[in-house]
Amino acid sequence: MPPTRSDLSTDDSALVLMARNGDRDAFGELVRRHQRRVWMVCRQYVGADEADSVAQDSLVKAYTKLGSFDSRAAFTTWITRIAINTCLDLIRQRKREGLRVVAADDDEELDVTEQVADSEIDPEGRSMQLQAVDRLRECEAGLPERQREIFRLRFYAEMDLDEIAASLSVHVGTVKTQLHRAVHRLRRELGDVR
Amino acid sequence: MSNHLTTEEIATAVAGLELEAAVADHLENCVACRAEVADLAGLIGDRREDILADEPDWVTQTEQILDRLPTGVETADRQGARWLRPVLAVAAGLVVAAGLGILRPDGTVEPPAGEPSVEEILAEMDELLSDDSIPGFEIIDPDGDDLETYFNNGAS
Repeated sequence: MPPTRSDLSTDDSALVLMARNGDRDAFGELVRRHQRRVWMVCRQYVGADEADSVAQDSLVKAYTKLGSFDSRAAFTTWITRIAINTCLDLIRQRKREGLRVVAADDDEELDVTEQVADSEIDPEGRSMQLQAVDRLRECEAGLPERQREIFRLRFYAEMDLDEIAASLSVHVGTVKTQLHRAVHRLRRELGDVR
Repeated sequence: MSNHLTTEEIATAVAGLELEAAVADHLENCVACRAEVADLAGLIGDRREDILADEPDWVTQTEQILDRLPTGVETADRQGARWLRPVLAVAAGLVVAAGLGILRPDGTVEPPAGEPSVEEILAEMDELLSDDSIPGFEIIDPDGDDLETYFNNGAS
């Protein structure tokens, strides 16, 4: 018996099935569920300016490739992989064209009037918090590429270790090692920042 | 475990990786080490919040994506059948070649204009091999009479 609309509230696989048969609303629900993760992943690779358009490209690409989705895998891992590949394709294309993708680590300095505004802390405390975040951003930019990639996917895209391993086609042990090295190095370089 | 955690152990805790039992025990009971872990984790959390400040309007993004969707989804069957294209192209080429008479009914291939046929090339090779003027390749005794002399190295 094919899934009905009422089945779709919890199951990605059922939504994929409906979307494959041309149900755009079902795909719209998949987009709503995963767009934040996809955007966050793209944000780590291509920076804030291009994250939205690359995330959109990734989701449209996912729609056209729904036929190749193997429902034994998690949809979220599959879509994350598409997002990463779309970002890497863009970065390679820009390199060929002699252009540079402004990655997350190349962001401009934080705007102290807008970012990390926490009304619970006093202005001096907020200023220190902003400096600390800025320092973390700098240290992060100095991490080796793989460590930085895994660190960001873990903490900013909030992916679990198995998902990162599956998305990057590496062993989960590699993810653990690289993540530990990244955090250790950041801890050492940051010192007492707070 | 009386000493405070090392930087490596703090990193392990912040990364959410498995801690040794003694380390976990210490962390549970040591305010200073817990504060250190919380500080770094909190800082990373602040940075995440900072990144999320850039996030787009999700409703608008969803609408834009749905507007861009093509009419059809590529099915697995269609994707899997991609390898058929080159095979079919070669098959079609062979059919056309047969139709134009390039392929002969007996399976031999007609050479392109100006090129020698296979038979001509084989004849040329035969002629070349029968030439015993090449040093070291002289025919010892075409009739086989001199074989004994040859094997006795001229001793008899």
